[in-house]
Amino acid sequence: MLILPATNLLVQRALRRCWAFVLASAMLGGLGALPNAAGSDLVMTEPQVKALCLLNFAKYISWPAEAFATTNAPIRIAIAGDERIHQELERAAKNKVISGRPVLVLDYEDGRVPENCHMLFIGATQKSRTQEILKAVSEKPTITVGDADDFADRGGVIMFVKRENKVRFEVNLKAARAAQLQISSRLLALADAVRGKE
Amino acid sequence: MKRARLPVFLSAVCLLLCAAFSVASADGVADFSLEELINIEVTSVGKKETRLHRAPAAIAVLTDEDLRTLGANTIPEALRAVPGVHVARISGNRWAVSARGMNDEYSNKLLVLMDGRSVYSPMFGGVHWNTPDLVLEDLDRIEVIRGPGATLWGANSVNGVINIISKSARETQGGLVSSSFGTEEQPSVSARYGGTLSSNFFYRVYTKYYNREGFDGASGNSMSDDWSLARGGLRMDWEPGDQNRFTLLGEYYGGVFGEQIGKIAIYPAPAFRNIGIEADASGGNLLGRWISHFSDESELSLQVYYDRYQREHAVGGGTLVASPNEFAPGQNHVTETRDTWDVDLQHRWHGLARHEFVWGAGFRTTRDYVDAGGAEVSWNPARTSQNLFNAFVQDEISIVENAFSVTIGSKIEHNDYTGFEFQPGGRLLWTPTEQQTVWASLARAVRNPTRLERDGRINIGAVPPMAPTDPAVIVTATPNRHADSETVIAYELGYRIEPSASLSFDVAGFYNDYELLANRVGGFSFQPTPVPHVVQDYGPKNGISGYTYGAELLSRWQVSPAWRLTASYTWWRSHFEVSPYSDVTNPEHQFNVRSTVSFGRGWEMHAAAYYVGSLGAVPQNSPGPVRIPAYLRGDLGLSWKLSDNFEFSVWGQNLFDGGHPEFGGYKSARFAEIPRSVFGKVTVRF
Repeated sequence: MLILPATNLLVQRALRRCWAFVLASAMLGGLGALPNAAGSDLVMTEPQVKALCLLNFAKYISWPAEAFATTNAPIRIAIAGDERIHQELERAAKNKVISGRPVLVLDYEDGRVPENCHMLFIGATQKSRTQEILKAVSEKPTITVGDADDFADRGGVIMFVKRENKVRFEVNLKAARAAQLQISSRLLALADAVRGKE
Repeated sequence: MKRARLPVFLSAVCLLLCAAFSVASADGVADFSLEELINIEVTSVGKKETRLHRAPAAIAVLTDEDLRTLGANTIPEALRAVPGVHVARISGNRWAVSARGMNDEYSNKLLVLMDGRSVYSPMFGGVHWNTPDLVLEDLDRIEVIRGPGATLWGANSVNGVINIISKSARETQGGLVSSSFGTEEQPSVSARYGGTLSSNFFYRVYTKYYNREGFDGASGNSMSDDWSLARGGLRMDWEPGDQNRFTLLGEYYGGVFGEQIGKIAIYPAPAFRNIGIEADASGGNLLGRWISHFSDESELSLQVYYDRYQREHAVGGGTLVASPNEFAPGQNHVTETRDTWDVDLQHRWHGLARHEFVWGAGFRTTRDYVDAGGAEVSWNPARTSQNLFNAFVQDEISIVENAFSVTIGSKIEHNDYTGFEFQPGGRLLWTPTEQQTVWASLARAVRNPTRLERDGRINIGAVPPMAPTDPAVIVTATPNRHADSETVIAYELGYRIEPSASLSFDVAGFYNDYELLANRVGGFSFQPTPVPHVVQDYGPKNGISGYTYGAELLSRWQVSPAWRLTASYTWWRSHFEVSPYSDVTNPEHQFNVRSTVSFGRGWEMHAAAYYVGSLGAVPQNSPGPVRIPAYLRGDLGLSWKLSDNFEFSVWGQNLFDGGHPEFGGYKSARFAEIPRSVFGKVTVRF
């Protein structure tokens, strides 16, 4: 039988209690972190960040005048295929005003591309229908955003890419021009990559 | 042990209390500019892919974020956080890792793949965990599937499959240098550079070196388990159009692993030594993969790889008459040289409504040469070439669109040892609501015999004569030319629920019915020369049957945007006809809880506590069952992200005690004490 040597048991126990206390306080550190929740370097969920990015993109895009019925017609954003981003966007867009317009988040019904939406996000569960959806909005001034890794290749305008745990994006200018949309150079400067620059 | 439980229990209660408070607090989303948004770290709870949530299997994924918050420097250490997996560190550079039981230094019921390449060794039947490695910041995820993955992955995935997947070259652009230094890491350095050759051609090249200090045994004597390894490699991803994607991975490595073996010789006078061996290992591999989306309904993938390595294995044991160099390191290792070629084709087709077919075929050939030198082992034949053919087909039938589906399939293999093996399986998947998934599975899987069982003869020990007139006894593990495959029929049931975007629960239960488990049974024979002695030989016989059952729970909770908790619990019981076959090699209970808190300005604190129940691990040359007590482990880490380019972290691991054993290895009767360790890490990106 193996006999483990007797070390200084009292010291061992004391040390263990000490570390257990330190560990417990580290886990409870959540308490200390809560008040800091707003406005500092956070850890957020991916759908939260993407939803907020969509709102921000709208700030840097100019739609042709005909895209809006009146001067304060809302910016219509449709989310296809990502329930979480839909929920986060609804929450974030409440009472928001972008370039003088309110934001309206549309429900997307399976199989029907919403009419006259200014921004359309195509998510994971609709991935296999990407080509079909892009074709349906190709004649419209709709900014298409997606996170499939071949989204830009397929003609999407903005593609989310995750790098080192952060949400980044790439812009396909050719697709933007085809949709008659003007994208501010400030947005292009923040993109990780821009294709179709002349 | 009992003393440490109270503070931990109290902290658990406090955790729950303040969690209750924080849930009530608003999670109103503040205004962020785009510049800020693209710099925010995203957590993995929200990232959980639909695919995983709907998988009809007990699957857990360790993301790159998980690895960073675990402070794991090696892959096996990261696996401690996965429910159903038992990770026991044998020494500084050896681990026993298993899923759902039967843990062993050579755990032969677990298949491990690195970017599609198998790292399971057919020689001893297990994984040398000190070798497969990569720049950990370039690791995308580790998928752990408990239960037979046989239908898609093949033989030896009896209890599970571990899939280690690296990021594509597109995701690892730019430069990265990372270095750690501490009680174990002395030091460890990784460097990687990723670039593009055109808008659709991405590459990265990397190198990694580490020099790690080994551990001591209970008596304070070194276990001679220092290790160091250098490796270099590259990855290229090319996407010429929307339809095709090509990937190439290659690496080369060389290292030295210290190991201590026990050796005994009887004549001229009984002598026992602990010998420190420095075992070399080097090798390289190249893998190419082509994935083609022919259409929205059809996807083909073709993979080819070549793997070559040369590895020394330390072998101790016992001998009757000591030769002049009996205890010299050179006399006590075996060199294995192996070349493996593998081709694998898979096609996914959903052209038929309600059906998704996956079928495939593959071929692997592996050639080895074993040079036994003067060690107490012989292989007959010393050179072999083994061919493995496999084909599989699987159909996922959607009975009710997005709500209920049935998957049936089977893999057929042919190997040189046991001929045809048939591994069918069926799964049910029911999604009553968006947030819930219920699944069930029934499958058969096999574990092919290893080269050791079929061809290897090892003198594992010797017992000196009790009295001068008694014979000495040499204990030998002998081969069995007819060693057969072990089989399991696995019944599984699981339930997953995500009550909100920030909370998820995943529970899985299983019952595994094993047949033809290999056990070594012995016989005695008397040998007159060179000195009269008795040989007690143990040959593998596939004669054991039995069953194991258990359950696993995994829960993730994003308590607030700044605080995430993860907890997992594993329960395992076994019942075998013949005891003590491996039924004491896994603990009955395992539990862990992890917390990551973000304080703002880039500061984060990570804490983890692990409880692993007691077990009696039976190394081959120990005189009897040895009980390894339960242990409680605590880790604490502090990380600081100064900017996008600089990150620092400090970690203390195994803080609760000065050293505890976790498992016994085959070659030495001594147990390494896993000590407290500390390290600091710097990561620079440019």
